[in-house]
Amino acid sequence: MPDWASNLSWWTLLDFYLIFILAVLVLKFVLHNKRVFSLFTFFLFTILMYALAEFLPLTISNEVFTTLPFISIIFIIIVGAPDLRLTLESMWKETTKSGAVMMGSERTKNEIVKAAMLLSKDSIGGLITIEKHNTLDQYSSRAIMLNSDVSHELLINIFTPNTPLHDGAVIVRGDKLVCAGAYFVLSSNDNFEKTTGSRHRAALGISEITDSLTVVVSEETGSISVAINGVMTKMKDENALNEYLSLFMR
Amino acid sequence: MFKKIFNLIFEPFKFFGSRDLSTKIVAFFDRHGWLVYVISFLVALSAVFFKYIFPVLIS
Repeated sequence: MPDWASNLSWWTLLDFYLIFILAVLVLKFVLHNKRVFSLFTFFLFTILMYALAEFLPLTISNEVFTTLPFISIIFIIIVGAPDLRLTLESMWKETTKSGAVMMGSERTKNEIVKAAMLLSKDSIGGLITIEKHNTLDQYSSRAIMLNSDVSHELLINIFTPNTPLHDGAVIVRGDKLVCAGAYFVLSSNDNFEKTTGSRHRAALGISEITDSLTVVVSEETGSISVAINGVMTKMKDENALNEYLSLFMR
Repeated sequence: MFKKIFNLIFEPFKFFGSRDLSTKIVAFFDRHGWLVYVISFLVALSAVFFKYIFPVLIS
């Protein structure tokens, strides 16, 4: 055995394996959603500052930054608790899902468009979220499970005012209506008007943290909007909505 | 160019934050899930190297 390998044994292999598993867990957790990644980046920054202050002759910075990584952990736990919890809940569910994205058929798209137009005509509020890569299981598990085919009749029935499910969102996965009455985290984006309703804020909120698309029908004006990647776009007409959904669901 | 450099010096958080790097990085790893395993392998390999092999090499 060469000199450099004198410390290696079969236990090293087990050591390597355990470190590998830990690294996979940490990376999967951190890279699961952008909010957790941002918190982790902040933590890395404090570590970097600490290392710089420790190894360079920076007297004041050394005193200030020595405790910063520990304080930042407490800060991250307090500030990011909801995101950390949601990530822990959803991380494993997503890995058990097959990697292929299951998007809806042309019929499903037409049913959604038809439902949105009918809801808009009667000024009935609606929130239809279409799942893509990121699972929405953490929201559907707290909602009323349906697992039915998507149809405009069912969608209109769900959003009819004064019915038990009309207030939440419906989640569409592939050709199935997974659930109704799902509640999302509201967006706190300051770029939108303060008067933006909770339905629109919910649509923005879910679009900021997942790659889903949400169709919102306003209760007040009957206008149809689409929220995707944290951006809300008002639809001019049926064709515009059709085009948007076609691009998203292909 | 100079504006970017000044921006980086005086407002480093704004400089990186406005580029929405976290979204791009997360989306990249979402598309290339296997990279997580490659990076983890390299991390574990370097940990073993610096703990078991490097001390022998420098002694």
